[in-house]
Amino acid sequence: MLRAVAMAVTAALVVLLVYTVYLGTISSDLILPTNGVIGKTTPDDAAGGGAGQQALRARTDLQRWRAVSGPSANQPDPKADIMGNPGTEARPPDPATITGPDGRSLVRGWLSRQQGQSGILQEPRRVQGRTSLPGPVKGVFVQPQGRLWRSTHNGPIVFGGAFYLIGVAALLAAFLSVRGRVPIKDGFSGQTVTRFSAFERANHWMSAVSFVLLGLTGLVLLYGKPLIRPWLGADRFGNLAEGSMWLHMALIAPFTLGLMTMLATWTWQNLPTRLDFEWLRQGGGFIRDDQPNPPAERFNAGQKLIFWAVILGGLTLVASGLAMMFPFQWGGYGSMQLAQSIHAIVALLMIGVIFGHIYIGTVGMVGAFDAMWSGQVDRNWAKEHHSRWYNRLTAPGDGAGSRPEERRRSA
Amino acid sequence: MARMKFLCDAERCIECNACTTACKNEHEVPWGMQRRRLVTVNDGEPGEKSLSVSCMHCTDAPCIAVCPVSCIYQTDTGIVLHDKTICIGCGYCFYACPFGAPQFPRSSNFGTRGKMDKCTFCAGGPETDGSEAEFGKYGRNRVAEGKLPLCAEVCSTRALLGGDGDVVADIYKERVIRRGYGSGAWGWSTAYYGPTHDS
Repeated sequence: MLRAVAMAVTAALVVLLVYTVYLGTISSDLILPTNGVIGKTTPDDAAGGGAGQQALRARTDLQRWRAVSGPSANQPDPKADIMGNPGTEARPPDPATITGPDGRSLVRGWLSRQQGQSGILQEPRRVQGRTSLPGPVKGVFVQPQGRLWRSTHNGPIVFGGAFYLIGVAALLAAFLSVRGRVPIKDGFSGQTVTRFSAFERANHWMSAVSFVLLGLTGLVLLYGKPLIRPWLGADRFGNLAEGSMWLHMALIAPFTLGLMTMLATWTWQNLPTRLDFEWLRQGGGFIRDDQPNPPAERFNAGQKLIFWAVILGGLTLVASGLAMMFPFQWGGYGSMQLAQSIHAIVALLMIGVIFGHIYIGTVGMVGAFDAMWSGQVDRNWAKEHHSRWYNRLTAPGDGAGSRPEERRRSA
Repeated sequence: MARMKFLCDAERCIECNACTTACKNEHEVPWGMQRRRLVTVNDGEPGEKSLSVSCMHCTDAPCIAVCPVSCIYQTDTGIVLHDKTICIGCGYCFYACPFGAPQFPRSSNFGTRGKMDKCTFCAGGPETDGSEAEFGKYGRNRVAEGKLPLCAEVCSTRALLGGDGDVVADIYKERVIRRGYGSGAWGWSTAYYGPTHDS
């Protein structure tokens, strides 16, 4: 039953994956004039249609060489026909009068004039000067690499990120449909040992809840425009995004605290040892049931990898996030663009890693969830997956303080 | 159809800052924000040039492309405007903008950015043209009155040209022929003919 569901989910995710690739290849990402916020119906044309545009053009002519064009005292100022269009609350402008050619042909027309201007165009390059006005990076006249940041963000990051996240989910679903849940070979013993203290669990869940919320609020900013905005509408999605951003910044406190506490309590147990290479070579014993699991200490190599991914990824996210919260405090345009790109890429990578972590901690393995939920794991589970740790824990004469009472409780 | 553009004639700009001052005054731009600013390149060296820069109202504008809430839009005259009720102040437009046009007040949580503010080509925002609400958010809407941006119209040396792009380019080319020299239309290749994604 579970495998059938997993197979259906895999199929759905593969379809989604193919669709993402298709969207990525057709995406032209050209900005077209819309005369209004996309999704809002009211057009906004300050120029006021054709008559207004003519007036503006005539007025532009007044900027010619004064001796040639100079304003004449006898001539009234050229003005747009205000009554002609802009309209009032009571009498909105007639959309028919302001819909000219469609956006794509307008943009084509604008771009096609490049030939005529070739004599005055410069090679696009960064121009840095100085300015008497206060504020960071105000001395930069032009930074064409902004366009590069834009195409990186709207291309590889958005579509690559979607491909990666859906791909990881599809792989996990496929694994579940083939392998099923990793069982406890000897079944539940009915006796438990303490795996994580209340403090460790509280810290884990504080970090977990903040990470999930950070991930969701971040994804609202990255994918909300195409996925949520059409359903919610421009205004309500704006509120959602604003709330998301506020929450995203507020959660930096519990997330950083969680990271620091993990770093302080678990680092020494997560240093790599020779045991880990053996564990990884045997695939952690996840693949087959007919041979015993490789031995492991309290944390096996897979958990150590998760730990270091969370610590290193989390610290990178906190650092790049702080750089964006206090813009231009630690660098110029390049640093800010890099910080944003790193933040997005590392966050997407980490979400995928956490997909795997959640999978193996819940549906992927029988008996694993209890470790972090109640803190008590079945003895047979502990014996199979963390044999060294379990043996040390239950060895008679071990001096550690909490051990005897545990035995008493579980017996 | 008219396509609005700015052009700063670097041979004429004398860095008097009249454009920046007029802009701040006309639109009552808050403290600490400059919709238009003056940049001097090669300051104190041969080839020194001053340039007045604000939002250039780009073709295929990067700010519109990266805005996560789609609050920025372009009119059929090429003017790039935005809706402050929707803006969340994330700052993406500032990273993408080649000209550093978006400005942010410090009003959000943790002392960071509030809603974006930028040059509107004196064309206000999505609110009713000429209304109180529009003035409060975006400043004066001169375009709806048939006028061009104040910064260009106030320029004493006619260095800053604003208005229909073809006319502006003609004026500049005439000047270059008369004078016999000119350093080109600064920023135009990036703003109006920048690499686009529609091949």
